[in-house]
Amino acid sequence: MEALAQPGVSDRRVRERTDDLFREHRDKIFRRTDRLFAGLLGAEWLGAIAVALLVSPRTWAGTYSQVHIHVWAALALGGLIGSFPIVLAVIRPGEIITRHTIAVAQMLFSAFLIHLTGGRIETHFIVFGSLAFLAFYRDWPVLISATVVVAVDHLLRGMFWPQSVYGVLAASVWRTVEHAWWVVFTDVFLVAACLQGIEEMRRIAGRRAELEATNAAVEEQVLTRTADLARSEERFRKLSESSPVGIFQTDAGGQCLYTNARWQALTGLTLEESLGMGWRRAIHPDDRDRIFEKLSDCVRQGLEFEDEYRYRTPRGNVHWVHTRTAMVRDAGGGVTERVGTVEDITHRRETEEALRGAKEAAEAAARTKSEFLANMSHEIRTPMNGVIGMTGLLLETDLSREQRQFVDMLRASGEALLTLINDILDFSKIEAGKLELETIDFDVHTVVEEVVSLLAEKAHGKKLELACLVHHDVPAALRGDPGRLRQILLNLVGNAIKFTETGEVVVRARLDEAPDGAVVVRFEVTDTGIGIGPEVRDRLFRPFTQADGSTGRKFGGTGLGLAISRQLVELMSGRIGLDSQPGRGSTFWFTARLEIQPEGLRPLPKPRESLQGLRILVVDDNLTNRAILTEQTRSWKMEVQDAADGKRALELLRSSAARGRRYDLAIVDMQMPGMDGLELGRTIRRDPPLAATRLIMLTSIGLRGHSAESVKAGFSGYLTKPVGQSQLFDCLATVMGGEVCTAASAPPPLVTRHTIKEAKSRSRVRILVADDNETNQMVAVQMLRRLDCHAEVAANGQEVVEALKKIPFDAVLMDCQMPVMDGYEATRAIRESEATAGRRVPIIAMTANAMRGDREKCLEAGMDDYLTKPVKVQELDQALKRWIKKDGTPIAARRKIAKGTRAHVGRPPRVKEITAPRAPRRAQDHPLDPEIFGQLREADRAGGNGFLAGLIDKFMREVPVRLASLRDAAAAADSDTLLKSAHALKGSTGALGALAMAAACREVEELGRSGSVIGVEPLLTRIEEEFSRVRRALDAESEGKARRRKAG
Amino acid sequence: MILAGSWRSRILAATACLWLASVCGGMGVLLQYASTAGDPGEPPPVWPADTTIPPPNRRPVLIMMAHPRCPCTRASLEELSRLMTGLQGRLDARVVFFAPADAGEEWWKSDLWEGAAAIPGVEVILDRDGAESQRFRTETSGHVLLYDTHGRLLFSGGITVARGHAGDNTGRGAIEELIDGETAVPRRTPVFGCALHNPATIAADTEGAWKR
Repeated sequence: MEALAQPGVSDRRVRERTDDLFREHRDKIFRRTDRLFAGLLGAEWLGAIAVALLVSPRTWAGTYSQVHIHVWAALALGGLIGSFPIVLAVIRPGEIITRHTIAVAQMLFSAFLIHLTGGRIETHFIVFGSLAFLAFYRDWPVLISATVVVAVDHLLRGMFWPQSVYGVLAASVWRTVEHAWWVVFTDVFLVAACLQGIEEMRRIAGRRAELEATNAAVEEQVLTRTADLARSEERFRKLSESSPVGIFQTDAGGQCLYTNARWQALTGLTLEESLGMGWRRAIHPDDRDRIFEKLSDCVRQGLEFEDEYRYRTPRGNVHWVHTRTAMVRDAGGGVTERVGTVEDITHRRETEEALRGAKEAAEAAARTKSEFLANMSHEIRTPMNGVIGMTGLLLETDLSREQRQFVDMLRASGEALLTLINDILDFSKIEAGKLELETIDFDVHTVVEEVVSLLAEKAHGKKLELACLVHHDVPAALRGDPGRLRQILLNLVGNAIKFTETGEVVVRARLDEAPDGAVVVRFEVTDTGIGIGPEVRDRLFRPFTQADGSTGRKFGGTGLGLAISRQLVELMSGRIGLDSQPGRGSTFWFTARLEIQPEGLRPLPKPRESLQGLRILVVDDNLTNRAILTEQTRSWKMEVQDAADGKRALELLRSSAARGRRYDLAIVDMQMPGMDGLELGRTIRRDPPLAATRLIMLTSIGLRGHSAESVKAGFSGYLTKPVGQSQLFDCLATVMGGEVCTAASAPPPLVTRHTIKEAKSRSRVRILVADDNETNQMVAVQMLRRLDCHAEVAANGQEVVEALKKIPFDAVLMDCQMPVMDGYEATRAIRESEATAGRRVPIIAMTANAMRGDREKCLEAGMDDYLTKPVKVQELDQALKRWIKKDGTPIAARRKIAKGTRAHVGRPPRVKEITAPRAPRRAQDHPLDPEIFGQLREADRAGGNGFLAGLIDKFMREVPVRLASLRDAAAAADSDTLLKSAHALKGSTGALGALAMAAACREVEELGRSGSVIGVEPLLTRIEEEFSRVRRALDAESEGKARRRKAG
Repeated sequence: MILAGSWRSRILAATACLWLASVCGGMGVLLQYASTAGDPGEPPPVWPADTTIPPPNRRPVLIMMAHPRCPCTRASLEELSRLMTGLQGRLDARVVFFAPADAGEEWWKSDLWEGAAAIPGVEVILDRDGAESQRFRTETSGHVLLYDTHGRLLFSGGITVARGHAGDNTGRGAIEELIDGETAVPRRTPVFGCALHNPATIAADTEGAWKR
């Protein structure tokens, strides 16, 4: 390789080697030809003797004769001529003297033979033949030596005995020339042949040298590769021998060729014992048939083998092994060998066995725990149900004020205890992986509102503003577990209220994603509370953890709420998280994946007005529950009977049916000994005489998850304990209002506490409030609630247009001046889209602009009515009544559509007259308009959710910010900002009844609209003075309220 | 070693020279033998009257005396064959083979006899006890006598250049020219061959070698 890499060195070596080879070859030829001539000379000698004996054996004289001299000459002279070169050929083969001696001897022998044969011309050919033979040497000087002999012979003969050559004494010169010519002629060709032969020899030597050089290079390469292979082989062998894994090698047919030390240790077989098919003995007898069959299949089909089985050593030790083979293929793809590894998995197997045992034990323990939990749930909940139920019944009786207070506290404590128990049971179920979610239809808007409604009183007690906003793009009709969703929201909102001393708590729901057939809704609970530091956020969602140790002491709680919420959110394929700044508040958020109801919200049957006279059977194994339910239903003048188990219930149902007085409905407890509620339901449904009886399932919260099974079993209602009296009434009334659930008919929507609430909520009028000012939004929403309307808000005209595309609101309260799209433009867009929809939504303008001409502008844009801010609740109520019936049907629209005219043409018969500006006069008396503020106070009292406190708090925080903005705009002569800030402040002050302040703001707004800031300074001063007065009045209001509460 | 090699070479060279010299010497002896002519005799210048061989008639007659077992005579017969081939029909030839008086055919009817008989224009004559050769006073096998049609001796001698050596020679050339009418040609040449008659005396040193 090195030689090949260095051309110069290689060429020189090749040349040297060529010379060597040439010399060697030539020497070989010399020696061979020497031997040839030695033989030839010997043969010639014998030939000469034979010729002499044959041709001239004796010489005669008359009758006398004697041996001819030729015979003696043949013996002696022939021997002499031949012996010396023969000796040389033997002892000095290949040497120059040998071949030249041979050449001379050969020519002398030729002459001798010619002489012996009497100079026959035929025998002269031997001369030329000898020359030709000598050419075998391929050494032209040899020919010269031979020729010289001939020449000398002729010369001497010519000189001394010319007649012996030419037959005459004086031969012609030409004859000499002729003789010479023939010899030279022969020599020339022979010499040329010799030279050519030498050249060819040299060429052959050169080729051979090159071949040798190539071979040497190849050989060196082969040696290198062989050494590499040897090293590789050695490496593999050492690796194999030191491998902790057994290694084996077989031929394609499974005959063992090699095993390593580890394999031998595992099997207890030596290499010799394992060779061929000896390895089969290593496989455990119980596994042999299976493994041999599988191996045969693998060999037959050319597949790789992998399995786990046992080896048994001759001493009886058993090892579990994992064997894996790979095939070694030749260039044609045929399997030539198999190599395999054998891993000792005995320890793993033992561990697995142990783990399996431990797992089974753990599962058994978990089952036991689960059963225990189920029992505990039932056992705890039943007396709790009794406590709460009995408390409810007690409250229906005549009680003294003090007694009622005690009973209220009793019920609150019971409910708190139930919540606590539920938390613990939920967490236990989560830990056991047994928590399952319901999949039932519900309205997410209702769930959010219900949560806010439930916690409103608590927030009010802390003077907190509690508000909710479900974004219009969140579909109402969803499918999931509303109970668990409410549980999460209650936990988060409850925490927010708990940890917020002042300010507000806002619940928001908006669409996060909308994958096919489902939505991901993002819920946010934002508070202005103490906030949470980043160091505790991570552990906040862990069980038994609160922000710090003092939290539990100060605020109470189990610390399980967020952990449970996190688990529930994860079960809903969502995430939960927190954004917070200590001291500034927190936003807890979570997402939930909820399915969209394909058929939209399914209306529940219309509830019956009365349950009087209906026959009902209460089936529950718990006496207290039976007593409560019996008492409750009896109070509605129902005919009640009870049964302690399914068997008794069936007897009663059948006997009654046989008498022709079948039960109208049955309330069945889920968990009963013997026949459970589901089984009882199925039995009733299968029994034709009983099939018309409507069924309501009653289950514990901890055991819910059976709603789908309940529907299949034929239940029409599904309630979780404890059941409130009104809830039970609504459920019974709704179930009795609908059809009987039979196997043949499609199941009607299951009546649950959620669907009941949703149905109630849906029956309310839905109003969309469009206002960019948050204070105005809050006031409007509060007023609408007071009027038992469901209100949602939009911040600009664009949002209104979008919301109306999705939700059929019954009316829109439209502010005229809003960013992005004002009220006029929005109204025009709505009316344009309604031209083809065939429905006209009443739009009531709600504007602070009390200028003449505004009304016409509103009507021209397509609005139906007109209210000036600050709006009073009576005015709002009258306006709504003008345009909406109690069930939400728009009056004007219905009339116009009935007449077949275009909806937008319809215009109300009367529009409220524009009221004259009243602020300046009243402002001198009191900074807050008594009428407007009185309404707010009344709304606050009616709502009971701390609305006014929140409104005041918001106002007190907003005004300084707005004033600063106005000052900055005035200093920068920014009329645009001046206009916007003044407009916003005007809305807030007007809403609160600070009319003088609102009037000053309007003047600033007008100034800003004119593009000038000249003269704004006195107006700003007036606004600040008015704000001072308003603040004092609000402070006095708050103090008065506190005093009243203290006194009450 | 170099000295030893040099000595060996010298010995070798000397040996080679000695060998060459010996060979040359041997060859010289051989040549000497080959070029030693036999007894030329004294052939009669005119056809002898007492011979039984038919005299020349219309063509010259060539008579060759031959010993049927003389190896040297083979070359003379070859030359005779060439001569008869060249002079077709212009010459009669008779080869007279010596034979002892009591010898059987197996003695005299040799390959030479057969060869001579096969030459066109040649008559083979058995010469019992050498009577004819004595009449023509010849002593050596291969001796050729040429008589013209008048019985006059034109040529006497051998037609080979040495003992047993065929090839161009003066004797054959002279006969051819004589037949062609040339006269200025050699009339006598040496005769190379075995003695036709028993030796009168045998030298003591060669006595053991001769056998009858």
